[in-house]
Amino acid sequence: MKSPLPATAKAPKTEAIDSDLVRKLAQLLNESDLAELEVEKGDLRIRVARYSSAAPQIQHYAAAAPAQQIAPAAAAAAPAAPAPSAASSENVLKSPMVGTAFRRPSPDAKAFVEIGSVVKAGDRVLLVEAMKTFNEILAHRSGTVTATSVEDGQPVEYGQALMTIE
Amino acid sequence: MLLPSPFRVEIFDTLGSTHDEVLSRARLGEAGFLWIMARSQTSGRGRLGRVWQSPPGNFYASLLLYDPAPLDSIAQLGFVAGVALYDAASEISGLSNLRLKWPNDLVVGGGVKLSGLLLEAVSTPRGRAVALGFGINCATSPKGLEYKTACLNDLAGRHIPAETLLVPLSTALDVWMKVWERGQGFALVRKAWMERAANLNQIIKVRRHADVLSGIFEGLDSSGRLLLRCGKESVTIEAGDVFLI
Repeated sequence: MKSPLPATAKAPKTEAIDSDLVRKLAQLLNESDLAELEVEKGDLRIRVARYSSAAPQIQHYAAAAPAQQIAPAAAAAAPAAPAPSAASSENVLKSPMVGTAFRRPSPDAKAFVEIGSVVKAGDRVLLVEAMKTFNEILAHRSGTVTATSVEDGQPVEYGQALMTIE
Repeated sequence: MLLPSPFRVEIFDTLGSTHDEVLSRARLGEAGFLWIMARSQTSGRGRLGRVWQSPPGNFYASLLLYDPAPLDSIAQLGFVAGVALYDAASEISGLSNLRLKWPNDLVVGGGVKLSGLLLEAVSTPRGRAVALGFGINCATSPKGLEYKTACLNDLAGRHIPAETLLVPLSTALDVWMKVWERGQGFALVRKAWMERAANLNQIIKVRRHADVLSGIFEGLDSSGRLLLRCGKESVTIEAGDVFLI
């Protein structure tokens, strides 16, 4: 059974999040046909949403975020060290949707881009297929592809890193 | 041919691919709800560049739509199109044994395939465009594929000209897109799809990227993913090829 993760809550810092309420909402979501549920009570707003059960893919996405957060600390410890190339999140092209990634239009065709390809913002660099609907993914910036993070046929989650363009 | 407004059509004797023609029109800023139809195609294509054999006599047409739904709901369009195709093909053929196979194939008994849909979303100067391509076997069906195929003429026992499908298909798409409400009404589309589904609550096989699963087909989840009961576990399937047993 898929789990209703992640649950996000927006609340003032002074107010503790009611974990029982989150749990109840998650249960409600599981018992219903809804994709997401949002409640507001005073200043507290809680939204629980249903995502794919492909947990490893979520971890993949989560791995990208801390890199950005720890960058200042790393820089303080070793100011002379060059920033790791994958650290800058604005270089990372993320998936706008859940689906399956394809790097080429057909299995025997050339990939849209390879590491080292120079792209312009708006160039087609990937396809994400969601339930047989193919969506073109465009380069979010101009630059050189320095890393590709997905293979043909790989499931991707919303927000998952697809490639790095620097 | 009187299509419901705002649908319109351009019919060609032969084209490379109706889908490619729609995509290139979209990039040139053509207005939406345009059907490009061909009596035959020289490079008809299906998913992932697979060849779609396109001899004269069958239905080959692609529809241009702009921004039919927000990005997170756009994949539901395949189910809207599947239900519309089911209704149009049932109406024109009089057949009562047509079914849908996940996510949007029209089939008869045991998964014998009658159609294929191809949906592609691209960015254009007018916004996100979606090409919605239909290949429907009317007069002939291709042989030598990994699945069985049939055509409407053989099943109905009479000649159904491909062009006669265009009006009921446009009408049904118009109706179901309004029900869908850009994703807000997907629960109703999902219900309609499941009423038309083949092998609901029966065993099916799903070939995924890395494995093949057998289980009871429990229906669609709230976003259209396939629910497969494998023993005690319910598996949610986002991508895969379904085989009816």
